[in-house]
Amino acid sequence: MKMARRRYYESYYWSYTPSRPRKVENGIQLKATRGAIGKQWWSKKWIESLERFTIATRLTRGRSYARGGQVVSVDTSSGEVHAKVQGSQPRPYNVTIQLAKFDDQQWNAVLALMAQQARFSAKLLCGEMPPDIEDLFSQASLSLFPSSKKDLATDCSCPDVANPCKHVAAVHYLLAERFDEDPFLILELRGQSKQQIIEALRSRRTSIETECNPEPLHQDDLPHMEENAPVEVQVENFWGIGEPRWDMAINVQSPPVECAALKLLGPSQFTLQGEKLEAILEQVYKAASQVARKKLVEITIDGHEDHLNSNDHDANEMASFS
Amino acid sequence: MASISQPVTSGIVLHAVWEGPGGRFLAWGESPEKYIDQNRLHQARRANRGQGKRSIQQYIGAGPLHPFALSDENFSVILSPLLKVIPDLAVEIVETIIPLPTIASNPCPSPELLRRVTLDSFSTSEVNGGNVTSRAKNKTQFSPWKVPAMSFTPSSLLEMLLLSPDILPASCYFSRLWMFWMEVAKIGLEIILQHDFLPSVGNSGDHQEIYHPSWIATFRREQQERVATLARDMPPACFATFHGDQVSISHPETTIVQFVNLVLDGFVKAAMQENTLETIYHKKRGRKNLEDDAVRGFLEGLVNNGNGALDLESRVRPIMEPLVAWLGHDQEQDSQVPFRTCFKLDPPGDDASNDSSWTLGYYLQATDDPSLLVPAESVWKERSSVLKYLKHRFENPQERLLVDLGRAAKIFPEIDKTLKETRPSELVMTSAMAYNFLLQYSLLLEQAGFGIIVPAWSKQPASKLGVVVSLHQKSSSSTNTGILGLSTIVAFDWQISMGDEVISPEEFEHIASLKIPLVRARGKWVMLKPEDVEKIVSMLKSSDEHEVQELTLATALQASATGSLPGFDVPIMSVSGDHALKEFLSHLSGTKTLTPVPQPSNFSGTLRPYQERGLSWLAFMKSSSLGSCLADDMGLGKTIQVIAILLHMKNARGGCLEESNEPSKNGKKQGKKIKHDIQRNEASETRASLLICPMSIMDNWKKEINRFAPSMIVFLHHGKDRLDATSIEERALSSDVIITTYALAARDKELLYMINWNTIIIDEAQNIKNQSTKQTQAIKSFKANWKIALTGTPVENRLADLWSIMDFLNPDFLGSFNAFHKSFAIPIERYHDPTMTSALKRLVQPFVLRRLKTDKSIIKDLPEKVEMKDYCNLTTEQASLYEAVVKEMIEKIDNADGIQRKGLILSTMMKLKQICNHPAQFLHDGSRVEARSGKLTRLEELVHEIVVNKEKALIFTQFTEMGELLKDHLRSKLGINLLYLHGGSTKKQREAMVESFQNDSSFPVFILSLKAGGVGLNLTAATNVVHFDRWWNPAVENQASDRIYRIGQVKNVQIHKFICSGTLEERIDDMIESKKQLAQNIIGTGEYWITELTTAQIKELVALKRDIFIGGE
Repeated sequence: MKMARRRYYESYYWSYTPSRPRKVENGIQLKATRGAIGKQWWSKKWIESLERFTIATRLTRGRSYARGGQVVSVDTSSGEVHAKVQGSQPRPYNVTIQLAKFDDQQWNAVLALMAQQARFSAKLLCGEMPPDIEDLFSQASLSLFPSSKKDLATDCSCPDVANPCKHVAAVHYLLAERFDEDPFLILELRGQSKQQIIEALRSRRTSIETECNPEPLHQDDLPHMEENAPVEVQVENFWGIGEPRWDMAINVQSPPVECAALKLLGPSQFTLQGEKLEAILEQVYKAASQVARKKLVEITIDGHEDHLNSNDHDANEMASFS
Repeated sequence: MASISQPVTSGIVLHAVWEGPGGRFLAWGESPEKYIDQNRLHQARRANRGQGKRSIQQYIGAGPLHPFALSDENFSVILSPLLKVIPDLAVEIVETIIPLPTIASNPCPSPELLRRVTLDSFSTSEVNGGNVTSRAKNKTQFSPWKVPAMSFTPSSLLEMLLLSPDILPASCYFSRLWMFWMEVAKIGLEIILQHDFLPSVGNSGDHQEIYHPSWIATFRREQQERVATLARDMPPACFATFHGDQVSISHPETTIVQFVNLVLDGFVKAAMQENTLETIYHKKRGRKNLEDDAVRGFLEGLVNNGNGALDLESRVRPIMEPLVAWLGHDQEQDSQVPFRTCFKLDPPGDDASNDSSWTLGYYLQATDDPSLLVPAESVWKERSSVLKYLKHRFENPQERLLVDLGRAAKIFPEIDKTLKETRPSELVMTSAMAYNFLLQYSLLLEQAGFGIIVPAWSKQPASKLGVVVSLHQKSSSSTNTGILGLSTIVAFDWQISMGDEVISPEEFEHIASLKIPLVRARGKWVMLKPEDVEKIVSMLKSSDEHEVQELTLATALQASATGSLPGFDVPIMSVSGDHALKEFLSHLSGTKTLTPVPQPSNFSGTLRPYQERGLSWLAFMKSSSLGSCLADDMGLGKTIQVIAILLHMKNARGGCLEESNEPSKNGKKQGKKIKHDIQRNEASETRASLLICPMSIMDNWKKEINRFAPSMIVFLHHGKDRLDATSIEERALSSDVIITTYALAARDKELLYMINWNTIIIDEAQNIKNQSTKQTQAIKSFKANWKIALTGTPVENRLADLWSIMDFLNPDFLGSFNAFHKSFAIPIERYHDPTMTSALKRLVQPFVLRRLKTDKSIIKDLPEKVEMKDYCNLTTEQASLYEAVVKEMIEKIDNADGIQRKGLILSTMMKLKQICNHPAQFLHDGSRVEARSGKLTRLEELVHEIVVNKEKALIFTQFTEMGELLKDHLRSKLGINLLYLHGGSTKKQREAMVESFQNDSSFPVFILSLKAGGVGLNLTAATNVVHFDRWWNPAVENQASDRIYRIGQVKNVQIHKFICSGTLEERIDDMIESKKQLAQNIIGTGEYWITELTTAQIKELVALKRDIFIGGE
């Protein structure tokens, strides 16, 4: 019954190709193996815009393409998205996704508004799209996310008449995960690169035109972890060298701020029957440290009471003697 | 502490190895007995060697059984006491294969085992500290050995490691491997107590996508440094495994981090099984949804030990991604960047009309120079991507500041408001916000890597709210004798203190009504903890102005040291007093110098300046009967200071004593005054003081008192002169000092309890450290007006000793032993907690005077070389041997002449010297060593003190046999490494020994035969020389002493000359001393000059003076 209906549904669009796509080695796969794609609100918003303009079956197939690693490559370097997606044919299809770019005047308006409040730069640089960024764009009579099908130009070399097709959808989903990591990417699709925006904002902040080429932030320059390869041991120093001098001091007082490490995570979005997850975890911290204190710091000596009693006994004996 | 019925082996060396993540934590041991047996076997086998070398491959996976590993049937020695204290301890007996350095098909012993056994085949030149020297290196390689082991589960590892030193019998010796993991466990404990850990959903270390909810440590910078230090010193044996045929270790730092996570996770999960999820999370009635179940699943995984992980995974899956994102939220700042964002809190200006406009300024701060601050305003003005400021380059300063402000806003949400500005440069806060910032957010931001600058006052306790306590002497009281002591009851009142200023209740009530946590009181900022404000408000309400509150001075001192007073919930900022009390308190706290007390005019000697200060301190303490611990470094002259104070007291007592001794003569005329005097005497002054010391230094004390205070009458309560119930009172009236030993104090406790002693002095006070012994309890029961304890070993590190000594000196001042143990001993001894350490220091500081030889103010008073004579007693056995030899000589000498006479004299001298040293040396019978020689007992005490003080010593003896005996005895008795250089040592051995002694701290004692070691050696690592027997030739002795007292010696040195009282040793020494000039002339190179003496002189010389005491304890 189900099958029959599907066949009917698919045949309605004449273009149904029942063949399975070819396997791709090292294709780009979605990280989210199940459930919703895109963790952040702006990525979700991006997917919503796709889902508004796309036929449901294409979305389903697109998701399984994206999960199955059918996307061979995605390139966003030119401010447009160029991708290759492997379908059932020998050669991968070429997919292009373009957002309507803002012109200089439009960008100037946006940047002027963004420069007014430091938090837009701060959030973006922290890898977060400011929550009210859409209001900012609408103040400039613009929309960051595609508001109509015109805004989102998609193309695919596959024979499917439907556009967006499943290949476009697959790329679109993958992009959502990229946006999670770098919110600047959406802005880039609107025509200004991260560097251009940072620079433009800085010059507006300082209100002086600037000509220099700022170097990018060296975020990748993190020190490398030391090699974890095993080191050969020599017989001479097997037991260690010299006398061990370990006797370090540790702090067994209560922490100045309770559960600081947890607090540094910021608020979570989770609750358990109305109680915040952090609040429950804080109880675990307190209980664990209390047990540790009781067992390992505030130790009383067993049998000591006996000594005291015998002491008293002796004292009595002596008192009677005198 | 815990005792077991009968240890299976006398000394086990315990090792611990970890197999890495997912692997087992294993404990195994070495048995000294088995090692000795095996070694004998090995030597026997040496003759028919030739057994082929097996290749490593042959060994892998099936190592031969380790020949001296502790066998599994002996594990109960370790396990049964552990299980008693840690009932949940899960342990499995297993066998494991470990790599060990192997020489000639035998595993090398660990350094710790080597130290416990004496074997001729291993001299120090061959094996140095257990590691193989280059000579033996080629012959040594790794081989696998099978050892029985105990495998512990992570859940009780933290407890097992941190409690084991207390629980396991003293016969278990912890190897450095065990100690290493103990240190790592300590980091784990701190992380739990400080809440420096986070939940995680996976085993991040392995790149495995397995859902394994666990707790992981977040290391603060100090903790990271500790990890790095431990990693540097990690013995490879802790973690080494075979990789192919090579023995290798993974990166130590990673290993330590993984181990901390292991014990942390194990402990928290085990702890939560005692506090189930239900008890911590108050289940509410409500509609359950999918997310609830997922969150619950996550929590269950964190509090359960790996139960049903599969099921949990599917439950948690719906929230997994955002959960991972939240937990992975990395707030840690990259420490490598040359600058960071810094927040600086400033209070409102002096002219500000409103006290609630605090500013939190934003700056960039150079990491290498925290004082270099670039205000945000300047940063916003910089148009280029590089800001240059005072030789510092700030790359992309605006973006750095923006990123940081964005991050900081998540921790301290108030910052968010300022980010609506174009160029935010500061946050203006109300005082409530500023208070929260100081209390919490500044610490969180600091931990997240931001620079924080807050006003200095905010970190000072004085900026807080509290009360000051003022003491008043009770004028009407009948107990007011003008003498203040710990039990003196005084009246007190309290006032409110804010920022070091006392304020009136009205002023306080006004401030409290403002409900502002940060206020300016008389120009100083004060932090008002709302709870404290509440408490003081209610204290004010309930207090009655007419009610007089009282406390003892002991309680007042405790309050002053700890900042808390029973019945007061708020901090005690200070304790002060009026008039005499003020003086008393300031003397005690050391803020006011003591009234100098000059040395008594009839003291025959000269006190060094620091000894005079010691005398003044003792005199002050005496005036209030405060039990005093004189803990000066060894060699600073504690004895002489005590003699001086006793003499000072005797002189002060003088007139009064004579008067009251004979009340009948004065008759009724002065009845009133006499009555007063008698009262005083009953309460305080009797004549005799009781001095309790080890047997070995009893005679020394008597000699020193006679020398420095000839006017004092000393009586030795010992041996045949022991007092009894009928004679003691009379003796106590006629003597100034009665000396006895610890053993006798316990035996004669009823007798000594009868007297109300003037002062009780205990020398080598560590003898009463074990407070459960009869001896300690007896001594603590004795009555005295004042008590002194002398000790040369640092007491502050061994707190059970400190408590017991304080309990003797000032009973109850430190509270019960259990309470003390709980709040001080464990935090300080085990964990070196700085807060408790300083609290205890403040508490005992008034009662302890300890000067170190290294103190600058002491060094200038000290001669560079101090020579002292240590008078030792003979045991009964020694005395009878001695007399027998003397008798034999006297019978023969009259009929001998010429060479025969000389020979007789010299051989007799030799025999007597041997007897003075040790009966076993004279008898050459290899008999028992313990407790048969006064000199040896004294040496044990002295060497123990030297080793505890981390000093080194040379011991000279003329006799090879004695050197051997000393070496073996001190090694087994004190468990220390000794070097022994004698005539038979080769040049190479000699060099190796000198090298070890000078550079290796594990060799504290060097025994040298006088002839072999007298010349040419440079042994400046030692600061003590002991001449165990005497070469009656000062030149030879001085030459030997100069081994340490020469160029290169930077410390003061002590020369101890051992002399047996009443023997020829004492008399020859007297002769040399009294006629030093003459002696220089008559004494040639040897001892032959003695043979030139007349027969009468010889007889006089060797006769045993029976007026000294003889015997053992």
